[in-house]
Amino acid sequence: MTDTRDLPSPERRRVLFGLGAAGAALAGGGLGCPMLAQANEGKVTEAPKSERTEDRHAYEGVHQAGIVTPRPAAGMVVAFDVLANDRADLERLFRTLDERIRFLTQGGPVENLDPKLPPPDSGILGPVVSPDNLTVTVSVGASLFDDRYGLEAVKPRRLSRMVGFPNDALEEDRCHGDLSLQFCSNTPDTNIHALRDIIKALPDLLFVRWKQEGSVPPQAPTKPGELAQNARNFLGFRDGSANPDSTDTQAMDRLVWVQPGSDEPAWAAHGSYQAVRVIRNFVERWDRTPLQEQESIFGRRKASGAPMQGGDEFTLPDYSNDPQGKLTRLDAHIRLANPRTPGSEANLILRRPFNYSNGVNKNGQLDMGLLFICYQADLEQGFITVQRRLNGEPLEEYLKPTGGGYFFTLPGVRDAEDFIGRALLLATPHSNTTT
Amino acid sequence: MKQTLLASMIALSALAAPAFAAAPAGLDLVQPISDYKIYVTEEVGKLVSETQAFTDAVKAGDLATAKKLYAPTRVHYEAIEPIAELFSDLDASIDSRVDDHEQGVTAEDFTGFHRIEYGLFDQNTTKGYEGFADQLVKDVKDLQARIDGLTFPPEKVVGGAAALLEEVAATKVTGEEDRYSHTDLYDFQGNVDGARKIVDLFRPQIEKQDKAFVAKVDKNFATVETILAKYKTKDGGFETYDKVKERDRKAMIGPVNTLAEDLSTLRGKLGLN
Amino acid sequence: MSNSAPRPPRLLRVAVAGSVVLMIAAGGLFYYAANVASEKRKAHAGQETVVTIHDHRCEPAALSVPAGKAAFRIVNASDRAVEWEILDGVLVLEERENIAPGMSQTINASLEPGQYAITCGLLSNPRGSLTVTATAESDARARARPSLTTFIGPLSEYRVYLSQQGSALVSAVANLSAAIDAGDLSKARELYAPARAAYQRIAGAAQRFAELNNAIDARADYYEKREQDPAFAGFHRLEFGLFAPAAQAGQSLAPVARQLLADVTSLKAQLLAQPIPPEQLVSMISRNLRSLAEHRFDGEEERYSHTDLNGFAANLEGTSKVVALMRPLVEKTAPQVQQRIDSARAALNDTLQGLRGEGQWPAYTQITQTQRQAIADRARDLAAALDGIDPALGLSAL
Repeated sequence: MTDTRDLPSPERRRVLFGLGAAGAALAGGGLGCPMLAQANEGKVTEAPKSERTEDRHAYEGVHQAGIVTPRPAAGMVVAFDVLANDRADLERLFRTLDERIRFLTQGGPVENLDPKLPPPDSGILGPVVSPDNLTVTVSVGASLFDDRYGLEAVKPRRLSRMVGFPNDALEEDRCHGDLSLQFCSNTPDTNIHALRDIIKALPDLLFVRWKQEGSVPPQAPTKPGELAQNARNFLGFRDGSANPDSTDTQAMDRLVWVQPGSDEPAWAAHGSYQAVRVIRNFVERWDRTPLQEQESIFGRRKASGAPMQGGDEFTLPDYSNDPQGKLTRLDAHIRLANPRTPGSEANLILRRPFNYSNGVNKNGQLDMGLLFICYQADLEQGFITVQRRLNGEPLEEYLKPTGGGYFFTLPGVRDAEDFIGRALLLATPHSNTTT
Repeated sequence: MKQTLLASMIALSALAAPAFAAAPAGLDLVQPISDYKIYVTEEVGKLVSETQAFTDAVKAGDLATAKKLYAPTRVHYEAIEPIAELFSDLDASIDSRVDDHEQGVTAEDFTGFHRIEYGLFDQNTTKGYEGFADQLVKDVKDLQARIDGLTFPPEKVVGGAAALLEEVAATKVTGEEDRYSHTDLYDFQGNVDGARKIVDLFRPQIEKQDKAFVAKVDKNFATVETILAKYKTKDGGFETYDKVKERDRKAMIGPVNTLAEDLSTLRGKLGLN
Repeated sequence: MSNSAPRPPRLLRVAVAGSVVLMIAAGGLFYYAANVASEKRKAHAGQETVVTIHDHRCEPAALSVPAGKAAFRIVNASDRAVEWEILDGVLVLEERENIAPGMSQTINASLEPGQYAITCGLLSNPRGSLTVTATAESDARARARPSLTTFIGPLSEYRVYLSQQGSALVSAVANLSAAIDAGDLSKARELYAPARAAYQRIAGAAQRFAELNNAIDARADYYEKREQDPAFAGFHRLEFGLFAPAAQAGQSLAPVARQLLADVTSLKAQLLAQPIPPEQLVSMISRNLRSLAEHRFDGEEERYSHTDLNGFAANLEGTSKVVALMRPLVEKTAPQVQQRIDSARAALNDTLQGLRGEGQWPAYTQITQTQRQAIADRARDLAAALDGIDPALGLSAL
């Protein structure tokens, strides 16, 4: 009979078991991470194994996929200038996007053409395209609602061209766009395959303006009853604690989705505002900052993700006993972003970021940071208000936003007759619109 | 009896000093912190008077004098950067670079030294820059008044040495600070001087904690200073940044990064947050 | 057959008897004292920690007590007299010297949470450790009281102030001395008050250096021969020479002025070299105000120039600087003390400014006894208000 005194404490046991589970997942191809699914015993050039290549999301729905969908390991935002000359071309653009995204997200064999012709598909996923958990989310920028396509009257009310905040160093050619596509899947290659497919399909209608890839580090699968942990960002802190619950449909209706009957144009119902920010982290400088200071800047413990008052990552921060900020500083990141005062619930946003790692700049310092993406029903009450509160925070010493933009994510595609962007086009009938 | 016992206790405890962070900071930091404020007050005083002379030349249309005065005036700002950047609105107005502004050179809120630098060295003119000159004088005087009223936070003073080296590592080693005049070496020296001042003021306290550390820091400073000195001109100024040989730039990066790493432990060593 | 020893002389017998009595008495006294100590120990028995010092170590070597009052019984089981100390870093918190071999002593200490060292007899013996754990009461006290680190800012600022005011004082006296050297006595008379104001702003700090301050600021009645005493120097000797009708012409003033310049230069150096502990920062200011309230209010300070109000206003400026520096700490911990200080300071300021008229300070001869008493009372109120800072912040306990 084992004496419980000899066993490690319950917390330790959980950690050990978790590590063991991760080890098991590594050893025998299991659930979770496609990349880490199997210890390499094959040859050098063999592809890593994944059992998730057939994961797929429905394309049709009230809302587009890729917003309340859980994040897979690879993400990418690409912004485009729309080259369409007129409404007819704009419609062709949306219909073609619809067709391509349907195929890419559901998978299937690639068309075979005469080998004397360039192949229609890049072939990087092989002759049969697997969905690999792909979602492609289509959003439009304020500039699409200029005088080119007759859409001025139906621009979403709060959609604007992003204006830099005091700490920004925005590079013009890494910002804004007529259209944004957010690609998410299990593998960077799947996203790239989808991007190349779309670009090849629309050479005369789309110009790639900027693109940023990102990743989310996979973790060992959780056991039943355990909450899944949030992934860490490149500052080493968990990103997404205290995010609204994306599985809570009522909360999402309140916070993320534009509701029918709101003051937005009718076509915009079931869409959302998307704010993208490419935020460089000065990682060398961060890594030279005392741990205590890192934690006090963020307002959380680094290792556990718990708020300063204690608990674990999922404990909600509670500032009621700390009006002067002695425990959690008044200018700590999480406290500024959400002071949890009465009324601050109006400014909640759904964060869905990725970590990015680009190159190196001339002084040998790494260019990496956060591909920040968030969704909200009201861009002004959401991201813009929150960022204004954050202006001047101590964390800014380590951040430099350099790119991104504001977009409106289109409502979902209802059925086989519908196509992405149709609701928008129908909102302003035009002689050239076919339906 | 008690005196000598106390003295021997002190000696013993010095031997037993821990390798990690010290006990909370004591009042022996008062002297170096106030000496630092006296230093910063002197530097900002020089900044104000030299900025006045610089902007007078700009407003008088004296391009040659303005160009000559540009870099030596800035040195006083770069030396006190840890304190100056506590006032982020003034820091932006006085010292922001063009890539902090989306609209680039013509951005309305691109003001201060580098905006005037663009006029003087890229456009070769002082015409149209009178307003920016007036604003700069106003800003540095404002800075002087705010510094006078500021109780210097101890951790900002001690941490300032590391902050200055981060500046050097991030922007000075690549010559992107003064991209029109290429006078980055002046700024580089200013940052290094400011960091060195802080280390010197706190030298007795740091040595008490870790003598080997101080020796290592001194050595890295000396390496950087020796290379910088190679580019000094006869009148006490510096060559333009494009003259810096690639191998000298590389030779400075290692010590600069190491200094940033080492100086980032200063606050912990002195028991500050 | 041996003879029995001769009987000891009577005195010796008495002495022996006496010493026996003494020994019994001592024994009784010892017994009594030990009982009292034992009672005391029994009273503290629950909290008493016993530490036995052996030749080369103490036992136990690691102690732990809750914050607050603690009793330690140190038993010296070594063969030398030892001391026992509780050390906080290099500072001695509590100690007992000279515990004889075989004896024990009880030490009562009041301890805040933290990690301390205890000495274990010989200096060469390894030290023990004392962990004082926080309790609810100690947490409450700690939340209330600022730590030493929070004083670094205000004390640094004050040192910068002393540097600036010291420079201003040196330069004002230099101007005064130059005017006297040049024989321009009327200009010297004009420069007297500004130089006094520069001094009075930092008089509280200057008064910590007794000899130097006397050389600078001593008044004639400190000297046997008063104004005629050859040792009478400094500001008031200059004042006498410049303003008193009975004084001679200023030719003997030049060396006095030069000496004063040398002295204020030394003063500045001393002000910067000697650190001021937090509790003295406030107490030296309130002492200065009390001297105003008790002596200087009656015009004895500037008895020739009658520029007393100029000096009082400068004292208040110097006081206001300290109040401003301490404000963040005092407001946070004891807002009611801050309010009292603010209203007392405003009252003194109003009283002085009310006497000012068209920008110039009137000669003190024009200030009535009632007005002088009002100044004294306001100064006393402000001193008393400032005295509330130390207990509120626990400065003396730092």
